[in-house]
Amino acid sequence: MAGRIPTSGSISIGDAAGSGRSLNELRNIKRSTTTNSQMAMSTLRDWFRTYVDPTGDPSSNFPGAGNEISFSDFRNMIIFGVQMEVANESDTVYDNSANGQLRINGINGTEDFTFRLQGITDGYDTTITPSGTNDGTFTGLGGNAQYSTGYDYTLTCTDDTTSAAFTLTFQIGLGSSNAQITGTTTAGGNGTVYTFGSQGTSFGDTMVIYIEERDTSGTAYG
Amino acid sequence: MTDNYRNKLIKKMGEAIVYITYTADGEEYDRPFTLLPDLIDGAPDNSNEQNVSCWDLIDDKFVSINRDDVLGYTMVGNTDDLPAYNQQNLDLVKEDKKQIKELGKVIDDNVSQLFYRDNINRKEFFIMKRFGIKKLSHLHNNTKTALTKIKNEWKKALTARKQEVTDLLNNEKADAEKAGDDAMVKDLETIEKTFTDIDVTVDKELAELKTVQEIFNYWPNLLLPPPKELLSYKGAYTGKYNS
Repeated sequence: MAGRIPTSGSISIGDAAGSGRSLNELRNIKRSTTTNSQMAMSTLRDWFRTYVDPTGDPSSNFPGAGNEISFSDFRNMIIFGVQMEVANESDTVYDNSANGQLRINGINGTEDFTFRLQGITDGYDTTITPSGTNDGTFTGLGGNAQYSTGYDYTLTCTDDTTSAAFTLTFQIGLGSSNAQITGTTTAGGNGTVYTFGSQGTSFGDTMVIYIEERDTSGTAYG
Repeated sequence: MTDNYRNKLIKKMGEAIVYITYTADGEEYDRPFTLLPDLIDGAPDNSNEQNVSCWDLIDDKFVSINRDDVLGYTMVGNTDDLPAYNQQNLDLVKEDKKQIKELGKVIDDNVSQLFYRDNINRKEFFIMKRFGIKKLSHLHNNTKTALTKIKNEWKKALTARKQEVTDLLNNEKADAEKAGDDAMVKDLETIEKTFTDIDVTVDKELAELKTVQEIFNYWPNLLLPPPKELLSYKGAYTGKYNS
């Protein structure tokens, strides 16, 4: 489903303005919210301020402080996330197989994504722009010992229509362990570590992370 | 693919070399294309909105990809500096073209296409070239033709290795004879006889091998180590995919 409040036209708290124009509907991505339920603007203001702003406010339109709030402040607010699976690098004597993979696809937002994975020091730099919510796969991950397990890659996830972007730190694993995502100030909670499940050299469990911090009463991350 | 995405892809190809991921004949490919004016010959025709017209950097011609077959596109390298990025990728494309041309001389398959298929390990093409196997399906399906060709080369390498060891033993034996060390001479003659008999064992064991993978894993202990070149094929061949 769409995950952005349009930049023009009507907006409503519930479903009065139609699908894709409801603040409740957008909120429902990260926290279960019935679209046609009544909701105080102040509640929505505080929730969006905590769990969407500023990364999900690419127009820098949403007030970061203060009590005043209006419908127009929510224009272009966006919630999107990523689903990821990892296939670890083969565990060999020299840990130099460089055959790890990270498969990723975007969810919600405007369904128009680009993903960039950059090694901190090894020069790995690949940008994938899938069509819609198709998967993109980063290959050739890992490699000579120091770039293998425990080595940081920066993953930048961008919603191309709005240019809203968040980053995560990714580490490939070896054999059956160690692949993980670490959250940042823009997504997943700064410094929070999420470990991939069912790790192996084939793709394992799916990990889901959304923009900004997780609402602990809402959709789980990881 | 949405109209927005199609426009984005065409615009990006006008700025850079991109690897388009698309499906064809039930397989997935990642192949380099562009619409950079300096690298194309003529003008693309993108009037049919169902397709994306792009310059195939390997076959040097415009091709039309059905928009529904496009899964995405990838850029490999630092996209913050597009001129440097394009030069780097153009160099890679040139290297690929050179390899494809060389492989095409000895392989009957459409190497230009298969080279960019996602589920093919490119090293397999070099195995085919090395052992004179003309079709990838022969390698993957362990055909008699492929097995015979690889076994012949394996036997040649085993024979050469055996000769090396025999020469070494002969030199040792000559030294021992010169020194009048009869016990050493006798020991060396015993070892020498073992190596004489190994031919029969090797022929029998090679004949029993039924797959390419089994041959690549085979090397008798008495003749260790195998040549590095042959050892490298052990990891290169996955035997995983069907062609």
